Amino acid sequence: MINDRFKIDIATEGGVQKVFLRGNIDEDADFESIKKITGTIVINFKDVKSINSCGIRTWVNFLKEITGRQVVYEECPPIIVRQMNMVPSFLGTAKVTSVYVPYVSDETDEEKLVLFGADKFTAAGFTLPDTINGDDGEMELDGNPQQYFAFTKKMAA
Amino acid sequence: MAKVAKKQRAQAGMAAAVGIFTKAEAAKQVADGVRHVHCSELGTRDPIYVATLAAADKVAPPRYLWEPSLKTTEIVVTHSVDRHEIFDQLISKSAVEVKRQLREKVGMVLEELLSNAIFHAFHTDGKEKYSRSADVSLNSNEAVKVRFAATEDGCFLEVSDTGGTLGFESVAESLKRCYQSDAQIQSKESGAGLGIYMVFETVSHLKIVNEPNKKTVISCWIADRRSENPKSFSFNYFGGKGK
Repeated sequence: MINDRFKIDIATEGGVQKVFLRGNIDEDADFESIKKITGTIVINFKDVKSINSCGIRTWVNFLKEITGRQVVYEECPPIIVRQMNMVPSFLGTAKVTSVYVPYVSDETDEEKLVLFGADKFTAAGFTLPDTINGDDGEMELDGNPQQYFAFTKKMAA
Repeated sequence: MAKVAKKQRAQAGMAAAVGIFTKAEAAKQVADGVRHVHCSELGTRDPIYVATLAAADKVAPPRYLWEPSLKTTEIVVTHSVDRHEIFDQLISKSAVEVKRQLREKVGMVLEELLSNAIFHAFHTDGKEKYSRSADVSLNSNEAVKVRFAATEDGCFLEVSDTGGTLGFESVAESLKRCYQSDAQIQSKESGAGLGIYMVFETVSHLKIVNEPNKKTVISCWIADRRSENPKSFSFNYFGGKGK
């Protein structure tokens, strides 16, 4: 059965092969093609639109199949960060190098996702700006950063 | 450790707890058999708790303050593949713009509740009638109903099935496994066993009404960030045994 709701692209960026997951991760998602990558597996989650409970299981089972390989998660949107917080095995032993943090303006309703590198969030804490400049004024962090970065406590050093 | 001002009571067979709980503490109450868990700074004066107790000797479950009295958008689902389009349809009909964070949460909750209703609510000979690995077309008497309403403060969502198999024990077991053990994910079942946990973890108010072998109605309130209060949460289960 063709799964037109999910796609994997593998591209080389800066000499590193990266896996770009796109669309909706559910029970029909197939990660087999990722296994052919040699060395560190860098997963880019930027274009993941949704993930359901069976998609989480499929991903966790995939991680078990590549036990021992170094895995890096990058550009994790809130939808992925929530899963890392709710289901620790979704993160496994992966290292997270960057996440998108949601900001919002209550005045203008403007919403923005801002990418932060791992230097801004560690198990010891996080150093994010409480506010950023939006198109029409100040925007504030959308949510509780303590909860949002709870996954860092489970992250391998 | 949360400060707990807990009051356990058995009134007309109703096990209820009220206090300040984290979600994990609330889940433990449910896992221990408590069907009504109310987290509120108002304690026993909390209107949801009061309404729950008042309904103890009544046949019908209460309608809570967070359940909309006004018109909701309703959609009937009979095909599993359609579930992917339902959320966009609901959102497109909403007069209120739903912000991205809230939209994602509602979409996730809807997906889990719809999947449960379509794939796991109907049993034949004690086994699930439909498989997740196939496209499912429900019979006309099995149609799943979705109700939705968005406000400035959050979204109301309700999913009803006519299977009536979501027993309290199943909910309690699911929460116990997901909050209290390392084996969150079921590997041998058709579902991952995470759905109820993900919903419980995400929503502010959750009400499950189960009429065995007749219907299960799951209603929930997902608060917008601005009105979300981690110290305001309720879980209420009404009904008898399921499978």
